[in-house]
Amino acid sequence: MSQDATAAPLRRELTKGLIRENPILVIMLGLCAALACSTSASDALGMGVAFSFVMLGSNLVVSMIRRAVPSQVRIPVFIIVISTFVTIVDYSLKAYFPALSRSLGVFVPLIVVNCIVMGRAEAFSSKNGVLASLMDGIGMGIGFTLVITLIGALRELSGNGTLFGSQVMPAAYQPFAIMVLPPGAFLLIGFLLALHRKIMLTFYRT
Amino acid sequence: MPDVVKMVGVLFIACGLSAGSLAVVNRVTREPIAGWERKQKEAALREVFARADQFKEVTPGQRWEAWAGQQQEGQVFLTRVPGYSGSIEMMFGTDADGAITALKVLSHTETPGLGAKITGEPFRNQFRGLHLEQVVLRKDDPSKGQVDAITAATISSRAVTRAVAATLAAAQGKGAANP
Repeated sequence: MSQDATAAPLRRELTKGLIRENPILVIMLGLCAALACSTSASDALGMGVAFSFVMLGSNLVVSMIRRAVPSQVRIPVFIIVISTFVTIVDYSLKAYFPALSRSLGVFVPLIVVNCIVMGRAEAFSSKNGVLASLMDGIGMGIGFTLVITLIGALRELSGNGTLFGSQVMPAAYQPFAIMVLPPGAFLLIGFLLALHRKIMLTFYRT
Repeated sequence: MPDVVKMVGVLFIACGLSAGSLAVVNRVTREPIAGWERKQKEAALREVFARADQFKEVTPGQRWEAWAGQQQEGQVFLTRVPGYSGSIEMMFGTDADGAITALKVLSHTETPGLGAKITGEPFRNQFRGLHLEQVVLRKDDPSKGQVDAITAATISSRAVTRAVAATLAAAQGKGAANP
């Protein structure tokens, strides 16, 4: 196999999470965290980074141990792997980023049951090599972080008039309080899905 | 049979590795987490009672005496109450006359943009200098009440106001004025 033949699929694994197989907009898993932790841009970014770390770690470990684990016990083993990484993130946030940890609250421990992490372990890294799984994890992490941060920024801007905590809109701007409430998240994700569909039809013709 | 052995073995090793790595993480992060919680509580005490330089915990986690030098200046209370969507934890100080020095909301899960405004200064500063009988929402008791509720967040405002009043009443031995 020539080098180009292996490099191209790897690049594909990395970039597919951004648009073509974006975890939020296409696979539509883990919406719970995406909707609940996106009331402000900085919370959303924090959630995205925490999620990416778990995604990367679990994909890496699952792909390394995939041959050693009998298929009957693979789900419990994946859950142990994922929850270990989640607990590491949870404790580290509490110790070094206490303010962020407070505002993300229960949603950090809940990454354990975030379907994307489990879904990628089951659908991808348990069947692919370490390098491909690493690329998949990075791509999914970045894709998730970009979209959740976008949702967070738009909700914060329209619902509170601020962006990353600093006032952007003029003082006369009357915030749409509904955008920082749960219905606002659903509205916005609907608009983003429509936009994403348009991009897919225009540029990827699928 | 060998299948079962392998399954149990793999699970056992996975759990062992997981527990081992978490023990290390716990060891590394325990000090920073505990230190931060301590600092947080001290900062809150200082904020609600700026004059005092020393706080003596009387009832652990509920009541502190605020001392400045050799003089007891007042007390600080911590109380918790169900709000609109979860528990609200707040801390406030009272001086020797029983007037409130300041109020701080430590944690809450109220609606962002509405009930969450209980953490804002416009709402909290209304409590400064109030005595027990004045700690009522103006809309609940127009003759005595000195606290304006936040627009569209009456339940959150009332929860905070009643919790402060009830804690004060209990401390002054008058029983709960607003059950």
